[in-house]
Amino acid sequence: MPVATADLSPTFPLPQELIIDILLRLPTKSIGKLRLVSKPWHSLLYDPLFIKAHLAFHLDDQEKLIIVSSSSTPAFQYFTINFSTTTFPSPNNYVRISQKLNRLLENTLSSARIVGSCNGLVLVANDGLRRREFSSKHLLALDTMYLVNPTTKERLRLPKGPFNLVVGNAGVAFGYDSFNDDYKIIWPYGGTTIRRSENFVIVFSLRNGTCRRLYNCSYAPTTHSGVFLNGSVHWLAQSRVDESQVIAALDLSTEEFKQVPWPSAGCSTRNWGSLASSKQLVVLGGCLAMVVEQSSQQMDIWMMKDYGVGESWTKFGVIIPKVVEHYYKPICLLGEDDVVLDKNGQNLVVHNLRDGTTREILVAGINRDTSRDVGCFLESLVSPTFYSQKWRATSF
Amino acid sequence: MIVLNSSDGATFEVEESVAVQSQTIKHMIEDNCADTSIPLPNVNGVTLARVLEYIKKHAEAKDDEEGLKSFDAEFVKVDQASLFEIILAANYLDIKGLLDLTCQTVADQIKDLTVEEVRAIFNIMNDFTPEEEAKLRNDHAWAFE
Repeated sequence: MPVATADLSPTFPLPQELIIDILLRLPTKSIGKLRLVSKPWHSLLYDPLFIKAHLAFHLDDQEKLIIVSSSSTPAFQYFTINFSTTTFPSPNNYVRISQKLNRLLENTLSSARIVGSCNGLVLVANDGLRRREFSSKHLLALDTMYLVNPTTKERLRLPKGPFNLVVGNAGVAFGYDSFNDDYKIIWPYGGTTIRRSENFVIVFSLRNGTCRRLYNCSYAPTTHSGVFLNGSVHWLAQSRVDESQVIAALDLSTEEFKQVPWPSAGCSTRNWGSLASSKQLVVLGGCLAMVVEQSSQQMDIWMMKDYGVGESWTKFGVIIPKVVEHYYKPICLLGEDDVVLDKNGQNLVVHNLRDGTTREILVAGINRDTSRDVGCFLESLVSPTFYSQKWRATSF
Repeated sequence: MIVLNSSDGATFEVEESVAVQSQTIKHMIEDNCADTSIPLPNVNGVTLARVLEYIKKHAEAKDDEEGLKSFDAEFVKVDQASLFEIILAANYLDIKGLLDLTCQTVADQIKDLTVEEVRAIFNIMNDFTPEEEAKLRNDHAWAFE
C-alpha cells in the first residue's frame, strides 16, 4: 500500500519502507516533533497518505476524553484526559486533567457542546442556548459548529449553512466517507410526516463546504445525537412507515439508508419503554451500543457484539442510585470492560461490565460548579485544514 | 533439514518446519530452489544466527504466551546497529512477527528522543535554516508540550 510520495533518501541504515514501518507506530506527538528532522521527513509526515496510514494503525488505541467546561471567565475551556492503566482506576476515585487546551476556541460562545468525533476530529457546537439536558429542542446551525483536532490544536469554523428550516440536533452525526475521503455531518430532518418532501437528511461535505439533501429517508430521529461506526452514521429513529422504534443508518460512501437490527433475543419492543424513554446510542470498544433508562433506578447497557447481527446484542444491566433529575451520557469504553459515562455534566461514572460495579469519579482540575460536556476522541494527525482547502478563506 | 548459507560463508542447519516461518525461505523451498542449500547473500552470519534463535524459540514454545513475551523482551536487548541488522534480515526473510517486534522496539526507543537524537540515529542532515526550524517549532508547539 502506498504510504507516501515523499522520498526520504539518502537514508541509512534502513531503507525508506522500514523507516515508515517504524514511524507509523509512533504516537501523534512524536510524529509532530519529527517533522522538524529534515525537509524530506517533513514532507513525509505531512503527506495525507502517511496520516491515513498512521490513523489506521492507531484506530484501536484507547480513546481520550475531551471536556468543554463553561465558567464565568474565560467563556469556555477545553480539557483532555488521558487514561492510562497506571492512573486509572485510582483508589481515590479521582482522575486529573491531562491537559488544558489553551486558546482552542477563542470566540466567546454562550454554550458549547460536543456533537461527535471521528478519526481524531471533534465536532463542537455552539447552541446559543444554555445547555440543561440533552433534548432535541436545541437548534443547530452549520456556522455555529467548529471542527477541531484536540491533539494538533488545529481548528476550523464551518461555513454558513442553508438552513431555512428548523433543524433540531436529534440524530445529528459526524463521520467519515472512505470512498470519497471526505468527512460528513448528517442532520436527519425531524418531521414525522410521510410526505416525501419532508423525508430527508441534510448532508454537509467537509471537502466541498456545502450541504445537500438526501431524500427517501423513512426514519425520523427521536432523540440525542447519532454515532459513526463501520462507515455509517446511526441514529435512534421512528419509522415513518409503521411508527416502530428503529436504529436507522446511513452509509456515508454509498449514501444508502438501512436499518440495523434491534436486539431480538429475549425481549420485545415493549421492554424498551415508550418512545420517549431515554435511549442513547454510543460506540463502545468498536461495537454499537445502546444505553436505555429502564426506570429511575436502572439503566441498561446493550452492546451489539457482531455488527449487523441482531442476536449478538448482549445486555449488561446497570443499577445506579439515581435522583430523578440526573441523566447520564455514555462516552466510551475504557480498557476491556469499563464503561465511562458523564453524570449530569458534573462527574464521571465508570461502570464495570464484568462485576457490575459503578464508581463515581471526580474530575480534579475543573471547577465543579460549571456545566460541562464530555466527549471522546482518538489521537490523530488528521487535519481539518487539509480537507477544507477548497472553500476555506483563512482559518481563524 | 534445510541448510542456510550466510553472506560471509557461515552455514546453518535448521528444520524445515521451523525455517518456513520465513516466507522467503518457504517460497524458495516450494519453488525447488533448496536442493543443496539456500544462499542468503543479504544476511551475515551473526545476524542469521540471531534470527534462527528467534524462529526456533517461536516454533518450539509456540503456545507459551508468557514465555515468548519474556523471550522477545530479552531478545531485543541488543545494540542499535545489531537491531537494525535484524530488522533488515527480518524484512528480507519476510518473518512478520520478528519484523513487528523489532520495528516496535525501535519505535519505543525513539518515541521520546529529541529531534537531534533522531537525526543522529538515522544519520540525517538538518536542511532547515534556523528561521525555518524556529517557525516549525512554533507551529508544532503541541508536539513539544
